[in-house]
Amino acid sequence: MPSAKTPHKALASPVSDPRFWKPHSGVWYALAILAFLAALAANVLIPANIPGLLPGKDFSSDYPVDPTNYRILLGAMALFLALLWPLAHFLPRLRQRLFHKAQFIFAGALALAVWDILTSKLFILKPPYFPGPVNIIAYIPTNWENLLTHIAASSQLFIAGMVLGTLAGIVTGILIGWYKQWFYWLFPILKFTGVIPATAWMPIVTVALKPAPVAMTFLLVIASWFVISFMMCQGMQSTPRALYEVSETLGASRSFLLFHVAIPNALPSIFTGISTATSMSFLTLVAAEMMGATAGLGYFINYSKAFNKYYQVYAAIIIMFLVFSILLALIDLIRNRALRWQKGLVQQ
Amino acid sequence: MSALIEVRKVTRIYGEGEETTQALAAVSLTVEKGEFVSLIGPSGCGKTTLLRLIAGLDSPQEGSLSLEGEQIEGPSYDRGYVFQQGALYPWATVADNIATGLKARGVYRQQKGRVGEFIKLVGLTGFERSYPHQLSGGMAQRVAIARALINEPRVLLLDEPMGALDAFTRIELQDRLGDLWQHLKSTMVLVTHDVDEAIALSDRIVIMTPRPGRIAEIIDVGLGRPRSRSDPDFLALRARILEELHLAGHKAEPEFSI
Repeated sequence: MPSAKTPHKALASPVSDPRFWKPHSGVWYALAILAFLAALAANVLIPANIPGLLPGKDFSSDYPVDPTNYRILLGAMALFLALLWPLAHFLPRLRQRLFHKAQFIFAGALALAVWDILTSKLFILKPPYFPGPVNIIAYIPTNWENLLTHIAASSQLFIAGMVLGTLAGIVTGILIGWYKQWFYWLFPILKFTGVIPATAWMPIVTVALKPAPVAMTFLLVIASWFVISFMMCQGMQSTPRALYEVSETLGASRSFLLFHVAIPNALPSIFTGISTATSMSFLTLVAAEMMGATAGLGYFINYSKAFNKYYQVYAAIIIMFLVFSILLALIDLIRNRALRWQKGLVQQ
Repeated sequence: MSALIEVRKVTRIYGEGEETTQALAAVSLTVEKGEFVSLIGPSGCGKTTLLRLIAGLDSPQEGSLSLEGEQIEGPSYDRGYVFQQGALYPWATVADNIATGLKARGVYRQQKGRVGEFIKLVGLTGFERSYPHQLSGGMAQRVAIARALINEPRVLLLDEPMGALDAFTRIELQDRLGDLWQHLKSTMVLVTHDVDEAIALSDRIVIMTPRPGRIAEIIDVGLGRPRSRSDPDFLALRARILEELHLAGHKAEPEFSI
C-alpha cells in the first residue's frame, strides 16, 4: 500500500531546521540578558550631561525625564528572559525559538543603550526632536487615559471601515466573479478606482458626507473594498475547469458550484486581499486623522507636533506598532485556521 | 445484456475556419450494461472527446448519444467521471471530497453513513481527515473513484486515471478497479494509452485512430478473470493490439509505453 506523505512533520535535527537555523547554544541568549543589564547599568551610572539646554526654553517644562520606568522595563526584560531559560530547558521548541531569536534580542538591547546614551546622556541627539527611550517611556503611563481615548477612536473607525469594506468587497467580488454582466460593468471601474489611493477622495468625501466620522469610515471602506473584491473575483476565476466539470458530474447545481467550488477556491486570495486591505486601511486611517479629525492616533501625532512634543509622537508610533502587530497576528491566526488545508502545500 | 450507452454517428469538430480538427467523425458505439469497455489509441484519436461527450461535458455537432434511451444533454450524476489528475477539492478532506456527490444532490443527511463505506471500499480507512496534498497519486485517484461511485452512477467514465502514476501503483490500482467493477456490478468506460491496462480490465477494447478520430476495431478480450499479465493468451492479445495500433496509427507515433 502506498504510504501517505508525512504531513508537515517537524524535523528533529537542529542542523536542518529551516525556521530556527541560528546557532543553538545558550551563549547569545546569555549575552542578550547581559545586554539588558548593561543598558540598565549605563543608564544608572553615566551622568546626564546637559550642555546649555534649559527646560522651558530648549524643551518644554513638562518634558518627562524620570528614568524609573525605563529602568524597570530593562530590569523586567532581563528578568523575563532569565526566567524563560529554565522553562525552555523543558520545552525544546521554545528553546529553539528563543535561541534563534537571541542575537536579535541582544542587538535590540544594545540599540536601546546606544539610543539612551546618545540622547539622555551625551545629548548628541537633542530634544525636542530626538527624545530618548527614557522620555518616551516616562511619558506613556502619565497620559495613559488620554492615549486610550485616541486608541479607541482610531480602532472604532478602523474596525467599522474594515468590516464594512470586507463585506462589501466579498459581495462585489462574488457578483463580478460569477456573473458576466456584473463583470462587464463593474470590473473596469474596479480596476481604475483600485489604483487611486483612498486619501485622494478625501476632499470630496468630507464635503459630501457628514459628520466627519461617517466620511472617515467611508474612506476606509473605499480603501479595503476594491482590493478585496478584486482579489475575490480573481480567486474565483482561477478555479480550474476540471473542478467545475467534476462537480457537475457529481450532480452539482449552479449555486453548488458557486458556494462549494468557486468561493472555497477563492479563499486564499480573499485573505491576501484582506491583508493588503488592512495595510491600506491603516495608512488611510492615519493620513485621514492627521488631516481632518479631532481624535485618534493620527490626530494625536499632528497635535503633539504642533506643540513640539516629539516624545508624544514617538509614543504614538510605538502604540501604533503594537496595536497593528496584534491586529495582523489576529488576521494571521484566522487565516491559518481557514486555510489549514494548505499547510505544507504553500511555503508560508 | 441490454444497451446502456448508445453513441450514434457522432461528429465533433474543434476550431473554426481553416484551423479545424475533426476529433470524431461519425463514430458509433454501444456499451452494454455491466460491461467494462476501454478506449485506446494514439493522441488525437478522439478517445477523451468521446468520453467527454458521454459525460455530457461536451456536445457533438452531429449525431446523438443516449443513456438507456434517454438523450444525453449535459452532465449528470448518473454518469460519474474520474479525471486524469483526480481533480479533488484541495480544501476538502478525503471524507468531504467523497461526500460531495451526496451534498450536491441534497441527500447527505440521510446517507451520511455511506461515506465511511466508500472510504473503506477504496482502502482509505484512517485517511478520512487527510487533505489531498497529503495523499500519494494513487490514493488521490482512489478518492476520486470513490467520490464518483458514491452516487451509484449508471456508468463510471475514467479518463486515463492511472496515466500519471508509477508502474507499481498503476498495477495495484488497476486490480482494485477491477475488483470494484466486479463487486459493484457497474458499467465502466476507460480511456487509456496503456495496452496492458486495457487487456487486464476490459471486456471489449475499442481501438481508435486519429485524423479524423474514428473507431478502427473493437476487440472482444474473452479472457477469464482474474487475469494474469504473464498468461500466454494475454501476451498474444497484447502483441495483436500493439500491431494493430502501429498499423492503425500509420505514421503517427502510438502513445503506449512498452
